[in-house]
Amino acid sequence: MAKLEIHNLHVGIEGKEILKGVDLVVNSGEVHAIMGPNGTGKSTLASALMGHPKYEITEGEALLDGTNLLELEVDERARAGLFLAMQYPAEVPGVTNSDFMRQALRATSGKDVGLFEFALKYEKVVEELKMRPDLAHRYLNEGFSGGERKRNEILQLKVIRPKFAILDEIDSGLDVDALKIVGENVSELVDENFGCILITHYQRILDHIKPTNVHIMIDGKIVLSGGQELIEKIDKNGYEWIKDELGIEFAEGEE
Amino acid sequence: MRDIVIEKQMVQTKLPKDFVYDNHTLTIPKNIAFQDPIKITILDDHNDSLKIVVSENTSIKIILEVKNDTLEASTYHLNLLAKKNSHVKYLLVSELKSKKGLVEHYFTAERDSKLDLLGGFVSDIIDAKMHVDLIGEGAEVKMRAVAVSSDENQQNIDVLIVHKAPNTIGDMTNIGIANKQGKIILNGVEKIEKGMKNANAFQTLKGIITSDQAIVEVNPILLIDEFDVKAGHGATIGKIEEDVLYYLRSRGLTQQEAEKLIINGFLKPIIDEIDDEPLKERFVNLVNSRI
Repeated sequence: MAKLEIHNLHVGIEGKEILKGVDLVVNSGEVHAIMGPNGTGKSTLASALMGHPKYEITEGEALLDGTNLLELEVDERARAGLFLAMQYPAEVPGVTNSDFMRQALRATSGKDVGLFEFALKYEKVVEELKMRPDLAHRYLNEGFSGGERKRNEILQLKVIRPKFAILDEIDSGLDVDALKIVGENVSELVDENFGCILITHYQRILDHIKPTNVHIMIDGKIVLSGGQELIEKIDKNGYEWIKDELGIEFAEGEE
Repeated sequence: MRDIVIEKQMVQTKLPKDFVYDNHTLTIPKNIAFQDPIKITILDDHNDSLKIVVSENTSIKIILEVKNDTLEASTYHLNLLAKKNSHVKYLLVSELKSKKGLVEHYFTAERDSKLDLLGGFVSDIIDAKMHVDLIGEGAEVKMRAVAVSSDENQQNIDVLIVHKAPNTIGDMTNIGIANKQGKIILNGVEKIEKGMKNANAFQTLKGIITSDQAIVEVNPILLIDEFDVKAGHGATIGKIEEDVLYYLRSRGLTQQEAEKLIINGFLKPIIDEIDDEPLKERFVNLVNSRI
């Protein structure tokens, strides 16, 4: 059982406030979908929790099993059990996927993993994500299609097995088949030791990963929380209805 | 792999069949496609010259190791002549502890010859010149040089490709990685002389620093005296990309582990070409000790 708690989180970038007090509690075994129009701060939440240097936390806290993540370096957050599947994962020429993953696994698990044992494990997840069998020897994300990159993020998630994963628009750029593969693989991970935050503005991925909680984020705040009924409402009516229902004004911005 | 060790201008090992060494010149026979690379080691002569002649129609991979632990001034004059239609893959590993090292390497490419040159510089204080003359039509050179410096190291690397014949191709990618208080100056010059139509000149220079005290200077220069050519150049300089570091760190690697992995990645094209396992291991260890 693990717990991720975010209290009154305020985050800015270059002096401009993006998150204006986010509260969220996620327990392992739960899948929280955060939805909302473009430019409302969903990805900022993901990056700020992971510790991207561009973002500045001005107020609030984020606790993973009681440890304040915001006081940790990026790699310490990863070792504490947080994982971010990135929207735009970087390319790293000359570094093979398997070398990188073996080192990452060693860092996050604190244990040395034998080469043979690792290779078997890696091969298995490559198959499960239906990726090219030569993936281990290709350079990290170099020359990968958008879909391959996203799948590679999920593959890393499956190897590392963190306590919590944030999937930042993992569905964008995926075709129907890839979406299904990614969705099913993530779903299978959810258990009493793993919870997940899913950031998206489409409902498609939610056909494959059933969220236990749905939140709508507008203008840097979670304005509405509920269950799967919210997805259907957004699917049918977009986000405009929120303006009337909650009496708030917002404009869709750039992500 | 065949080893040739040269010490005090004498060949210490048995030469492969039909190889001739005479008066500082090693001649490799013609019309042979060598399957195995040969490794030439110049040992303990800190003032030496060597000319390698690859004869017509021969294809071969050569690894030249220049290694010296003396702190005294060390000077090497090296020369490679690629004769007509020869194909040469050539790797120079320079590992000098000298406080005043000089490695001057000339390459001459005759008609239709192809040179694939790699230089790995892990010396302490060195001036290195890699100078390629493309003298025959259809000659091609691909040059990749990497310098890694650290502590009080100072490396000046000059790479020059001169197009002295039409229809020649010169492509250089040079990378300088300066760590700690290391300093690297990387000059890449490509020159196309008048009348050398349809010559192609491309250069990419990349300078990377991993500390605030490290210095890298890159100077990409194209000198073109002919209209009918294709040429392009680019240079970048800076720290390791923040987003790449962030990505690797988000998977639990410390800043230092991530930097090492990235730098080893830059060097991978060179490291992969070192067929000699002990040399490869030494090169990798030396590079990593500098990061």
